Amino acid sequence: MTVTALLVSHDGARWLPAVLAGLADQQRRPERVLAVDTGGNDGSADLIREALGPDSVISHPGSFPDAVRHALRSIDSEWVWLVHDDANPDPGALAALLEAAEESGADILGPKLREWPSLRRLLEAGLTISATGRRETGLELGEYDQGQHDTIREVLAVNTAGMLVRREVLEELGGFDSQLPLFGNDIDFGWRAARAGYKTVIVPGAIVFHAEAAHRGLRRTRLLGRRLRTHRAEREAALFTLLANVSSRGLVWQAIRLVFGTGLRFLGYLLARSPGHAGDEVAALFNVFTRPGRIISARRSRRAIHGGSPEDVRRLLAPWWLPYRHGLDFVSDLATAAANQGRDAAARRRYARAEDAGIPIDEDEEDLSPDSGLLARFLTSPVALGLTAFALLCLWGAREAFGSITGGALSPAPETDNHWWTLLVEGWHEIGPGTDAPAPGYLLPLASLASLLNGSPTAAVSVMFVLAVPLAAWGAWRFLLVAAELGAAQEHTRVLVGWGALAYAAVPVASGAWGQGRFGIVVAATLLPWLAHAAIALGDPSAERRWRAAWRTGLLLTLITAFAPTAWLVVVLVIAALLATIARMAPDMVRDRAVWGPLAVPIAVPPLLLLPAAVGVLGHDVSTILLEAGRLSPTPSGLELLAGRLGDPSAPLWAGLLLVPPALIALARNRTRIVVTACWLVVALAALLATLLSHVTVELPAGEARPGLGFLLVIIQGALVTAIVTAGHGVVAELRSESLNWRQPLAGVVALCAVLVPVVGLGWWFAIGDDLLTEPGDNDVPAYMAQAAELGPEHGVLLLRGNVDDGLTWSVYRDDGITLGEEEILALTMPDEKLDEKVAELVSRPTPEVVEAIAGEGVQYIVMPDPVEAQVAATLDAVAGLTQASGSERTTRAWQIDEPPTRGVVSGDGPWWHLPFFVLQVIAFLAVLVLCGPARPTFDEPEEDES
Amino acid sequence: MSQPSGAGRRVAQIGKSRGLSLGLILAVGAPVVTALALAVQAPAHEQNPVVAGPPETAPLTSAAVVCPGPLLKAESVSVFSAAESGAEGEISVVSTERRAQPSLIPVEAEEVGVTDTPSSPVIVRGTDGLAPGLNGARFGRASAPAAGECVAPSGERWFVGLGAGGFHQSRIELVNPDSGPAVADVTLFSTDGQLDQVQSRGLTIRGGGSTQLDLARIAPNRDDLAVRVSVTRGRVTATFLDAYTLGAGATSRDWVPTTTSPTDQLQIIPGLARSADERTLVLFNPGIDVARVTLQVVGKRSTFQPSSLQEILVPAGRVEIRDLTEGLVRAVAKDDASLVVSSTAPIAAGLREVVNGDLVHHPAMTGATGAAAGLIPTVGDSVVVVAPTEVTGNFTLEFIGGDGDVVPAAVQARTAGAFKVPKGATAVIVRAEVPYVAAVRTVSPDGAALLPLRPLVLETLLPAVVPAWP
Repeated sequence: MTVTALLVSHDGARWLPAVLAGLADQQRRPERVLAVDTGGNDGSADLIREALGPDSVISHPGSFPDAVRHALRSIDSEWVWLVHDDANPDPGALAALLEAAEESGADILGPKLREWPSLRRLLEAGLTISATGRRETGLELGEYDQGQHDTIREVLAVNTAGMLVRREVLEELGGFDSQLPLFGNDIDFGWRAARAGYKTVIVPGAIVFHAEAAHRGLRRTRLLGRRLRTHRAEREAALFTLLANVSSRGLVWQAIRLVFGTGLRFLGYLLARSPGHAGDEVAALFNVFTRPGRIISARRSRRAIHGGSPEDVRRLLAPWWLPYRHGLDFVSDLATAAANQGRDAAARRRYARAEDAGIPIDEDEEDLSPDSGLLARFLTSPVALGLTAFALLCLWGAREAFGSITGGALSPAPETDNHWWTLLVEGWHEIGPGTDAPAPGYLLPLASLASLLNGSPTAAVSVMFVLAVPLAAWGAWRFLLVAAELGAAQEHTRVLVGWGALAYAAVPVASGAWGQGRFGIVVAATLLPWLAHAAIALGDPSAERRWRAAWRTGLLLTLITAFAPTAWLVVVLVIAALLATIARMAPDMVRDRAVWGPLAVPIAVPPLLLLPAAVGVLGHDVSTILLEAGRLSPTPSGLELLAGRLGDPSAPLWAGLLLVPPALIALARNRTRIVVTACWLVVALAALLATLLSHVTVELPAGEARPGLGFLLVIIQGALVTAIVTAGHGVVAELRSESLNWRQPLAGVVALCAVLVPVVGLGWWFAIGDDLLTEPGDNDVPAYMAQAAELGPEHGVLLLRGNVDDGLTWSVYRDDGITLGEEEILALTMPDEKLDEKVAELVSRPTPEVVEAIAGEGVQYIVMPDPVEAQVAATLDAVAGLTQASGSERTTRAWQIDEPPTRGVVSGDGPWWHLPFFVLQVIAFLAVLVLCGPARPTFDEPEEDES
Repeated sequence: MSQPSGAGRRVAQIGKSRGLSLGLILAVGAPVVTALALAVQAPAHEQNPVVAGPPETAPLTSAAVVCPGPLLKAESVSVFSAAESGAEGEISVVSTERRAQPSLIPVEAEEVGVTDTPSSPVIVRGTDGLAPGLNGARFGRASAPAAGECVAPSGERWFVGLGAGGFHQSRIELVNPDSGPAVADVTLFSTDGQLDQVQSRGLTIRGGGSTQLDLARIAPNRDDLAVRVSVTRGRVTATFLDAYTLGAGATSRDWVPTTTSPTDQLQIIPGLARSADERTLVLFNPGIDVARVTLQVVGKRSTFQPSSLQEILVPAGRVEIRDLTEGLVRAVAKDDASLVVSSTAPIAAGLREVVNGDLVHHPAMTGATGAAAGLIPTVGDSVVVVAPTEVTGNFTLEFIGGDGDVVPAAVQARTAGAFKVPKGATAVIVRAEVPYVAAVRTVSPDGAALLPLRPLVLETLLPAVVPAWP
């Protein structure tokens, strides 16, 4: 068996010395070494001439296929061994290849490619192509070679670097396709060979170290043009290969699939923030599809080789499901990265400290050996058991929220998510007297959640309430881990952080927000630690991380603002204070866009993402952002704010106040004073804001209201918990090292106070859990009227409450009543003045004309719920045009208006800009989602390394 | 505190150098600011409730009263409006019989009109200027004096001293003056407590119609009864016709005026006759505690408690009856006295008298200020009894008809004044700025009658209305 090693070189001076040495070191040396220089100008030709002699070098400017074809004329050996100038063969490579050739009778053989210069990572061990044109190696990214792929097997293709091929085969197949000058010619060649009945095997015993210079863009060639468009070239090659080689029957289907696949990949790259790659995808498709002649002639030439009945090569192609698995991997990679990125700051800090101390970090130090069973591991892990118990208790505590609930600030959820989407998409709402007031910001996330949950708003509300405590605890745990690391500058103590997480998780329930249906506060409390966690990274030294954190913070703040608009106000104040501090301490820094930009983003994002609501609120009454979500609720007093209580029903006040003494004592600790003081400054800011707001009365079209202080309460509680957790780190060790003095008993008392906070708070919820939540349906409107009301807005029910001495209030029940999300709209809606006037006449001096006018406003029934004002009831009984109707209870009075209802009484037009703004909002949401996503490490885009 | 180590050094250094004072100021200042801020927080808790405000008053422009049906045959009905003279409007009457047509009464303000009516209750309507102070009564024949006041619809009415047995039979008349149907509940109480087995709940009265009900038919009972009429739908008036068989076998009839709803305030039973064959006090205690009731007599000069009037214990939920025939003989013989009822628990009270063989019912009344009016029977000698309930007051008695006398009078606290009705007077309007009760008492050789003077309804309350917070 004679072998000619054919070395193709193009500007490979960087690697050539090693490659030539590798060739020289072969145990089975090729009979002849022939080199083709394709016209580089870095002196590689001279290098080769020097090593192999002038006769062994041919100069032939052009592509790799051209070079091979040109050199083939001067080769007469049985085998040709192709060697790249960036591929260094292992000394035993050729020997192994030849041995395998003899044993397997294969016509084309390929070595196992390992990464150069790492030498350990596997690059390729046989190739195939998926139906989407992806080059499939069957290997994980950066997989280490541990002999796991060491079997000789038949494959579709092998890389040309180190490929050993029979000269006859090479000649018969016409060499490599000139249409594929740089990428993909190996797969194409293998595919053609397979269809012509030749056998290709991978020989793992033969190893070649490959620098993949062209693929990584380390080598610039004129074939790629001025810019390094490797991705486009690779995709073009892949598309061409597929279309040129796929069977005639599958051609059309393949073409269609590539078009749709390209669309998907385009979106995927956009999601991964690689617009360049996304553009390459489209450009490649365009290039290939606009030149069908190339494909046709390529297919014709292939038919000439394999004749009318080519071999069936489907077994060698990638399985059909592979692209989907890649898609899934991509998504899960993204999710994992998103979940992990927040931990970066703390983890980096920990690693740095461990490195300083010379301690090896073992992430899984507490895990048992992996061979013990899952159950055994679960049962022996106190953390796992504790978490399970906590989760079960949370489910028990939230039992009321399974199923539909209403009460307190929470209105009943509508029947379907369509109701919410209608409110979001349409600018005019047929509720109340008909209105163009904006839908509240929280409807978009809620409606999205409901749509994910099979279109059930009830399920969305349940999720909101059931997951509040576990998610708040989890978020607080994550945040406090980082806060403890950064604030206390020492290894976190799990017990302390766990206490903090529980103490914080108790806030939404112990405060009474949960039981009073104040879902805005519940959601804000759930998300606040996640926001704080994201915001910590705003102080990261890396600008890129700061930007990412800024988008993340902005997104989370948007979610919180949607439910508790005060949050935005608080963050604006905090960031303003922060910028002022930076400006004072380092005036130069603040002018740096990479410094102020990430701080400005969280302020700018919420108004943008809540666009229709934000603009609508500006157009109606901006002071509505001071209100809490849902129905109006009582506001807490100063003491209650400090104790984290919102009035009854809530956990005992004293248990909430127990948080204050430890937080005050925390100030006395020198070591963490800065962080603890910062926490107290936040508390002070929130307290000042609360005081200010408590003296404000918001005048809305629907009436007066007092601003909601719920979010400030959550902020105060969160800051107090953070202060205690931060200051608590290291206390035990310090006290232990001291002899007995007054500090130990004091610490004991403080610890007892602190422990009682979550124990009483959560215990109250689990065991007693007073609440205002009930199942919807027991309202004052009789069932038959409610049914009639759903027939259309003209079948309204006028509800009269109150008495003569204090006055009467009226409201109109339409459709399915006021459901979640409609209070805010109605709060911004001027009540129907004409109806108001007519109702006043109705209850004092009714005439048949008044009754008729009220019917004209889309009212079919009049109801006076218990307690009924006898004078008014008697007045209505006396008026002609009203017929007494049966109420839901004996104590309820009801009348039906004899006049038939009028249609179209509450219709109207919303603002023209509503729909465009809504679309803009959705697009902005997606864009911010992409912007705050983690950078996905890819092979050609190595992740930026932090110093 | 131990020496900070590791990365915490920086923290400590800052604390020691320039930032020491600032850090300390902030560390102490933040909690202090927090405490101060929260201390001056506006006392909150309640959202601003949506308050419509107090009602407005406006002159009445439409009023309806219902006069009871006749005792025996079609006694005439007298009506008048106490509106200021010159007011323009109409007063019409309509029978509660089916397909009855209303008829206008040609009458002006402060003028009494008389109409003959069929043997059924009549609805009297006043509109515009004649609606304020609409008043009316049906009087018995001269041979058997009796007076039945015309009443306005009300959510709840109380009556005591009724009977459902062989010698004492009462009949209730429920009238619905409006066009739609109305529903009322009638609840009966006896000395044994509430009568549960009575089919008198949810009585429906058609629009413009009336329903009569003999208590003896629905609840045969020998005792004196108390009755509560409560309206659950629409507007209903309730009046009672009472027939009482005297010892000699003759039956005397009269209407039973509505008495004050159970209250523990001072109640006055006005206008006792100077002599009576029989006096029966009926008390009802609807509460759950025993009521201790003391009786006093208020006369022209003073209020006193005759030794014969003992404290009465009224058991919870029961009717209690006391025969006062003997006990009051001397106390009231020379005076037009009234009876003062005070109780430790809310009670309803009423007095039944037989005077010269004729039945007369006295309701208990609580004091009210302002104007009150009533019609005066044309037979016998009538006096207007006026009793201030708390303080001395200056009264004006304006008589309608006759010479149209206007009598000013001062009546001392704890006394009762009795003013003789001038000849030809057919109605009286009493005005005072102090709380008082008043009644017209008529005594003739054939018997007696009593008509309580009720506060005039001149204005109506127009409730303020605002839209509710969504």
